[in-house]
Parts: sequence; C-alpha cells; structure tokens
Amino acid sequence: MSDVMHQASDADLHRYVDGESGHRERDAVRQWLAAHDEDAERVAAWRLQRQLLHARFDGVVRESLPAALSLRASSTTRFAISPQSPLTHPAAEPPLAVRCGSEQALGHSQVSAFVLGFCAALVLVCLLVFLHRG
Amino acid sequence: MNLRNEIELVTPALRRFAQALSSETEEVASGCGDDIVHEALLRALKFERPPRGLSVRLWLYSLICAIYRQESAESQAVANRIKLHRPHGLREANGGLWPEPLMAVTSALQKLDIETRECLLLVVLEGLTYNEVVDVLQIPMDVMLARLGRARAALSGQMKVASGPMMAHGQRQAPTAHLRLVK
Repeated sequence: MSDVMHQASDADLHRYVDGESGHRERDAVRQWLAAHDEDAERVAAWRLQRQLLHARFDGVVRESLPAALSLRASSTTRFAISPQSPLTHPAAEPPLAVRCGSEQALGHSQVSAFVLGFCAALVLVCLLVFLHRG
Repeated sequence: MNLRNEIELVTPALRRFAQALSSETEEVASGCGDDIVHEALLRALKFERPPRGLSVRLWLYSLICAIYRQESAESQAVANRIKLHRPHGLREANGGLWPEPLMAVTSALQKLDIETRECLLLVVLEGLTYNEVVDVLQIPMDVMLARLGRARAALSGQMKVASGPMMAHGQRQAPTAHLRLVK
C-alpha cells in the first residue's frame, strides 16, 4: 500500500483501530484521518467504546476466581459445581461434579495420609506390645 | 503446559467475556456469566483436546459463544417476561451504581444481536486478532468485518447523548452512512 491513501475503506479504519495495520498502512490511515474529520470522529468514537467496555468489565479479571471455577480450589482435585442461575441451571438439577485427571487424583496428599496412618498404626501396635510385656 | 494449567490462565478473561456477553441477564442472576464459563470448562475437561487445531484459549472462547447462544435460545421466554416487567430497561447488577457512560455502553451492548455482540467483544474487549476471531466464530473475514462494523455503528448511534461532546459532535452523520461490506 502506498503512503498516500486515495480512499480509506471501513476495513482500513477498523484494522487501524484494532492494531491490525502494517506500518505503512497505519501511516497512510493517519494521513487520511488528518484530512477527513468525519472518519476521524468515527475512529475516535470506536476508541471511546473500547475504553468504556474495558472500564466496565475489566474489574472481573481482577476478582479472585469463584470456587466453582477454580481447578485447584479443592484438595480432592474435584471440579465441584454449584449451580446458582435459575436461567442456566434449573433448580431441579443436582450439583454436578466432574473428575478431572483421575491419575492425578492419587496425589501427594493421599499418599502422605496413607503413610502417616500406617506409621501411627505401627506405633500403636508397638506400644501395646510394650505394655503387655511390662 | 497441560490443559488444566492453560484453562486456569485464561479463566479470568473468560469470565469477563461471558459477563459482557450475557450482561442482559445480570440482574436476574449475577452468576449467569460464571455459569457459562463453568459449562465451557466442563466441556473442555471432558473432551480434553481442542478441535480444528484451535488453541485451548480460542477453543474456550468458541465454547462460551456456543453455550451462550444455546442458553439464549432456551431462555428467550424468560427474558421476554423480564422485559415486560421492566419497560425502562434493565438495571445493572450493582443497582445502577456505574457512571453514566458505563451504563450507556452496557445498555448499548445489550441491544446488539448475539452475532455482532460476540464479534465486537472478542475484538475490542478480549483483544483477539481478526484471524483468531475468524477461527473462533468460523465465519469468513468479510462477514467478521461486517459484524464488527455493524456493532460499532450501533454503539455509536446509541451512545451519542451519553458519551459527551465528542460523540455529540458526530450527530451530523448517520451512524451507518459510511458502512459498506468488505469483500
């Protein structure tokens, strides 16, 4: 595309606003907008829309995840679901649960608990034997 | 990086997208967007591998779009009932505490049809490239650009009053006067 743009199409303007233009195309659109107030106003309005949409919805990204959406929230490695919306989940629907990563379900916590329980039982048996002998 | 790690990374953005997409029903259930995300994560974990060579991120966006379309169709009757009781439009979930321009943009967003709204939000809010949006929505590039143009023109038209002097200045032109399909 030449640096001098004879006619900026709507696609050119959208690509410019959305960062899809190449360097040369960007420069050409800038020149076009400098000479065409109505298109410059439209582009400014589109940028304002972007700012307002981010101002309105970006807070959601900064929120901590609800437990129902966190894959690491539960120590049992279950992805528990708590349906809340009457629109998307009828009240009659039971809570869903899906097991994700059955291999991972036998994680460190389960192994540790098993070893700990075994040791405790061993100690208990030793103690009983010691008391009987005593 | 495994599937679960990839999902965890993108989940906050998915929540934003789903809430913006479903903002029309926020007052009915503030968790509506999260329910959509939840369903998308369930499907992703069930199927484990993205189709069509999509990345996990784009796959999840496409799942949210599909689920929202399905939910919208199913809950149309409910939505109509709500609108009957609120002839002056829907309140925000926080009881209308948002500043006026943010109320205006949300209200304008609600008036878009689903196809144009999801296209606008994927580009403008989620920052997807045009090629990524085309992959997510499985539509040709010219259709995507046409939807984007319609969405922006509609928002501009509906926000002139609320968006201050810059937009008010633009009232001289019809919002769709310069739009044309790009082939």
